[in-house]
Amino acid sequence: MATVTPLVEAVPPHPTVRIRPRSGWRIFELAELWHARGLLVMMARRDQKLRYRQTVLGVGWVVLQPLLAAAVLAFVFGTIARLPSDGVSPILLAYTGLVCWNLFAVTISSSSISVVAATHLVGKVYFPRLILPISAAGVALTDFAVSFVLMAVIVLVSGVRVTAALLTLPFWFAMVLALSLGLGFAAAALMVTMRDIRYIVTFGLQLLLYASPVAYAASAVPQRFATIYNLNPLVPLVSGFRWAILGTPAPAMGAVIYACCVTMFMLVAGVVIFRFREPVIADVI
Amino acid sequence: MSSEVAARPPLAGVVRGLGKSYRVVRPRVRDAGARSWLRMLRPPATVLRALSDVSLDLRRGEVLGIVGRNGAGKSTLLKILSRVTLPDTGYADLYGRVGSLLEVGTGFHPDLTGRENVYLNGAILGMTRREIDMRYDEIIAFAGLSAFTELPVKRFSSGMQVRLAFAVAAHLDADILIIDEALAVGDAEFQAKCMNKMSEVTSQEGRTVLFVSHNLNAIRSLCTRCVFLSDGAVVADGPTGEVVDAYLSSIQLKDARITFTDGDAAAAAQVELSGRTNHFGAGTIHIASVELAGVDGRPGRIFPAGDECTLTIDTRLLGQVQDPIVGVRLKNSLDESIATFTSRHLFPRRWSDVADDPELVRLRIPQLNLLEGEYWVDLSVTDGVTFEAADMVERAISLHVDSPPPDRYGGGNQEGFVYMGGWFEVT
Repeated sequence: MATVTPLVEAVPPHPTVRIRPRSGWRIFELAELWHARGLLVMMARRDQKLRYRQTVLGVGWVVLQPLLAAAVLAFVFGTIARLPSDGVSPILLAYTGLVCWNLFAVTISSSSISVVAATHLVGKVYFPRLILPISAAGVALTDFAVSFVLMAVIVLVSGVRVTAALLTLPFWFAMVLALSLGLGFAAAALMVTMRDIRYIVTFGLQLLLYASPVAYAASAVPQRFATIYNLNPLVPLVSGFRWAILGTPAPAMGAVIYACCVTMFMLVAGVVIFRFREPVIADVI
Repeated sequence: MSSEVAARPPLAGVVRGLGKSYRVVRPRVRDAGARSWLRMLRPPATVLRALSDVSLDLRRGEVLGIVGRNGAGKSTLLKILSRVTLPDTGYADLYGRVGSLLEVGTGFHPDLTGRENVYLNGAILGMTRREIDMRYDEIIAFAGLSAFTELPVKRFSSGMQVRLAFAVAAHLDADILIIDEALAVGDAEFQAKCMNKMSEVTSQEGRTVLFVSHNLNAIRSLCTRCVFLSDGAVVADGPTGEVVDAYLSSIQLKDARITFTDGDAAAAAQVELSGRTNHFGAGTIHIASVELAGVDGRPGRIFPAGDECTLTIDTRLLGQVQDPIVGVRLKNSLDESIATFTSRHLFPRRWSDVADDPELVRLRIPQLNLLEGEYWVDLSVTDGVTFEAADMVERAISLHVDSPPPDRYGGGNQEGFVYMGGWFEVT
């Protein structure tokens, strides 16, 4: 066979890895995220394993924390302040509120610090960075699962009649998770350059706990503050969550639609902010 | 198959015109006028050009070494190719699975067991769970740690951690493996094992390895091709021997310039160091001067090979230092360390309590077994508890070793590093 030296060397048509300067808006690379799901699960499990390692009570903390908090809140708001509790016992009201609230708060606080906490990893190896805040939410999900089981037991024992509203529970759960993830993504990406975010998140969660119907019923809020109060999307979400379990008054439809819009907007905005900051994370960290 | 094809294996990657700059934020000046909100959000910065217009071809089955001084852009190049950071200009296309090892044991967690860390580290490097399952026993066997897999890694010695980490990386099924200084750790035996593994995977499995190291011996023995980076640009690209030589001669040129400027001051039997600007450390001890003397205690800086040499360092205690450790390093003209002497903990605490009182420390080298050339002496005093430098002066003094006396036939020990004083005889 005659040997012909090609003038231009044939290059395989499809490179496996394309490295280009940052350009355009390749925001949602879901395929890549899906590809790295193994790592996502591995990191979430690592956090789980490490969380209560070398503690005496172990997973007991997951049960104890919201229970004690609920007792204190029920005492303060129910016994001392005597706020109306929509016809259920104050401790039940506070505990269901806290289960929902903790899902929100733990997701935000752990996902927002996830990128800064993984500084070392980010500077040394590539993986879709979105994995960090998502896997951090794993901790909140296990906490939720454990306290949810306990909540189910308490609710059944206390003789609350379960209504058809229970079927809407996955919806409230998904909304709260989506809202907290959206906020968590944005906070995680912004914290890389502004560590102030960490304090803003802590302080914001403190305020929001009282601005949401966690320890009291939304009906306790005076009518003239209702407009401002209802700006908080957690108001219909927590109320809805409680409605599904305890059959307390359902949130207004308009408020729920508003909360859905805010949640969707925050989720998209969170991802966009995160993807926009992603290329610089390794450089500035 | 034509010889042309055989000589040029298929492309594993193409790098074209890669460039990257960093913004380096300048320390904020305490100036009330400049304190605007805008400034706080975007502080003044200088742009540092880390990489400019780098183009390379990567071929399969090739070990490509990258050499260059610190800050030449080697790490930036590897970071871009590992996708840790993005380039500003240019592009790179890689064909095949890329595994990068910018550091040994990325993501190792001290509280997790050996087994858990293998799985986590493997996943971080891009292995699937099934792949790790398949190779798990092999990895543990390669690291030689089968007895310790259920122990938290924090109970491992640092050598064991490195072995485990490299074992995971070595079993990464990558077509292109990017390694940054990873071999610089671990004991000699394990390093050899890693090098064997590396040449094995490249020659037999047709993988490509990109390898950055300051260890020129490793580069020479492993790499088939070498790239020399300087100030972010490719200066030379070709066969390893030629490129390494080009790199070495560039160092010598730069060093020659340094020698020329500091040389006059340091080329004396006694050198006053108080005026030197290259003091480094806490300043709790001050190295004031240093003196060289020969066999009979006579000051001098020229020594016949194999002769006795005494170094006297005059130090002053200025602050609080615990268990001071005195260090003396001899370096050749390539800035390579030839011998290091440390006083360690057996050294008596003799520093005078009276501040600023001279305290003489003497190092006696009975046989200066060096071949002809100029040698530099670095001096240091370190706090033996915190291991922080109390004072350190690089290139404090230089000494000259004369050529050794020839044997009776005019030959003998002449080239290399060490003078052993051998001679030829005819029987």
